[in-house]
Amino acid sequence: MKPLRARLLLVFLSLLLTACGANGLYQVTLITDGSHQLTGHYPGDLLVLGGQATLSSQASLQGSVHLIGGQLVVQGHIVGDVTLLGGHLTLEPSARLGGNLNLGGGAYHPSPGSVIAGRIHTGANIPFPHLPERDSPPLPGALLQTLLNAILLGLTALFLARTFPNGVKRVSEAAAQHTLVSGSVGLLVGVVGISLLVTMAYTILLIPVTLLGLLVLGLAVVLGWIGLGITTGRLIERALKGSFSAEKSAFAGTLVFILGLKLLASIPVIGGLLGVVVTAIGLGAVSLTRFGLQSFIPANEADFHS
Amino acid sequence: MFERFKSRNAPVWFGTSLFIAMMSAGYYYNLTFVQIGLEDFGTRLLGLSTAAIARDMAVLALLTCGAALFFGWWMTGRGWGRKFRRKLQLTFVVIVFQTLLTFLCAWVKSETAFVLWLAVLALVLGIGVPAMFSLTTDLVPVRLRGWAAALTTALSYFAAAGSSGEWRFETFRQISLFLLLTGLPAIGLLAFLRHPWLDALAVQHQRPEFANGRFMRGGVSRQQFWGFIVAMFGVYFVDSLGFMRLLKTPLYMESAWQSPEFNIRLFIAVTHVIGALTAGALYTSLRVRPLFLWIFGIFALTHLQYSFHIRVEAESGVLIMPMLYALAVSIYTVLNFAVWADFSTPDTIPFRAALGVTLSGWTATFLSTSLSVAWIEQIPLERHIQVVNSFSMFFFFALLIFAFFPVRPTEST
Repeated sequence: MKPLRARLLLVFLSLLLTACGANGLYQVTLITDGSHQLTGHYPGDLLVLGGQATLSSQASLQGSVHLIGGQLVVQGHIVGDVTLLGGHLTLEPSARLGGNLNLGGGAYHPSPGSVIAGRIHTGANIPFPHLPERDSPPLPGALLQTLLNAILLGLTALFLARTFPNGVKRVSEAAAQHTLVSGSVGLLVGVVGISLLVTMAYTILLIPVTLLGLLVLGLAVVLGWIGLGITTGRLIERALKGSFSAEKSAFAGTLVFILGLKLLASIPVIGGLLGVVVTAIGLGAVSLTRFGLQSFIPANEADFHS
Repeated sequence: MFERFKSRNAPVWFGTSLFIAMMSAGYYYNLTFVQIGLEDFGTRLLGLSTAAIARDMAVLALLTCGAALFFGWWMTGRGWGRKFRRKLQLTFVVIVFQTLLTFLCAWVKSETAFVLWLAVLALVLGIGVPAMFSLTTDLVPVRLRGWAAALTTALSYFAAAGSSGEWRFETFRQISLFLLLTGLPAIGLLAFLRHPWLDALAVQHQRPEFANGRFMRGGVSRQQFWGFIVAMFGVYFVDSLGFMRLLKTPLYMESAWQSPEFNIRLFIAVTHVIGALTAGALYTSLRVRPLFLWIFGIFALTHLQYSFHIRVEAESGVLIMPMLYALAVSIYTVLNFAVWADFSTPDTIPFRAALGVTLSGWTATFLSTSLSVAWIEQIPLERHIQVVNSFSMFFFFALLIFAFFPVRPTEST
């Protein structure tokens, strides 16, 4: 086995080991199917996506309950909030809720003896977690931020052009010479990749893999931009009829490319779409060259010229 | 591609456009009238049980398959793969019969008459498949086949997905009759008149850029050809098995393909177009195995999402699922339009196209449609979708495993 493959396999297997921790920072009981009788003491949250569950009168749950689908019958004690978004929630006379009851959807069946210590929120009154508001910075600040981002990416391009010259060159060539194929692959990778990551996040168990996937996708996008930046650098050299070192060309090209991309994206109506198309070309070039590890040779060249 | 525009080679462009127009109209007819319309006709208008419809559609598939294989073999034996005008005349005859059958079906009132009507339709379609697909080596140069297939797919799916949210037999019959009656005189003129452009098209198959399919240049093995048929069978089977069940689930149809909102239908239609054009670009540049991996991977992901969605008992549909579905369907349809000609020469195309299209496309589609219709009364939706998902995953991993077994390129089929 090649060393790189062996290392990647090792990293992958190590990730599996992270699932072995007995008590994590966060615990959740997930119910998706079947019929369940919850009789013990549960330290985390309860998430019900389907099936049927009963929290018996002796049972207690320290966390909150999120009911998205299926059926939950509460006879015991829930310390946290209960949020009903779908399915059926029944509070038996012995039920005791320590937190709030948030009713956003689904069917709610209370009983006269049940106790709700907190408030009952319905419909649009459900309080959402407070998120700090992010105002768009004023124009000089935004320009400075864009410039700093461009310089940072330019420096990254310079670093990669020095340490990984063949890799970034391969990405740049794939994006420049096979733009249509790169764009097509990039579009598929983007759409399918994001859908896959969101689906994995939905399982909760695979959230770490989702985060890792997002990181890889983000790195691929950045490498794609750098590849396109190197192409831009070459175009600048040609326009100025000069000859720079590969590092300088990569820095200047990426700087101009990022500023140009920002300018392109600011065009009303079509700007966002153009930005997506350009990013897809870079992402596709990275995918076709396996992060710059191999050159992309189109199949048709081999097939048509044989 | 653009060099050909510059060369102003009008007959080549005329031939390619003719192929795109014929195939997209034919595929639209197949997608709407035959696959969805006949099922609606049997259940709603004739009052047949789902089991009876499943059986009748399976009969249609097997008869079409048998007729196409026999006629493809017969055409190959007589050397009709090289006779452009003969194939065009056959296509004209097929369209005449299709028009008559589409017109007459309004008078079919019993199951016996329906089965007889289906048998005649199967015979006509069985002749049409090798005749029309074998025109590829006359009309479309190898370099343009991916793009021609992409445009064919884009046009037919855009029309099918965008035109109407009401998927009723009567609507499909009217549109199909309009298309057939418009195409009939045009194909008739081309089939029986003489024109320098048509004379040029008649000899194009002798040029190497038309004659030697993409996969024939380096040699093709029997394993590769049959492997391709199995993979395409899997794609069609997975698609129809899942889609025909979703078709019977109002939540998923009314929020997507049959939505009363034009914008949603337009979104799906545009997704089909983007998917087709993407596949057109990739077909000529990537090996075929990665494309299959994409298709099965997307199908697996989509059915997984449907499975989750069913499990949480959500009350509204999510557009990402039909979007991914449309993407996968467009990619494999492009493959289907381009690949059989690329596995053939003018001498072998009638039989190979018949083998490919009927064994993988028709048989898989209608067998899975029959199975899907039969399962509606037997297993719940969630279980059904899980089975489809399992099939997708099976084909995905099987392809991955086969990727490690190199196939020697030797001409032996």
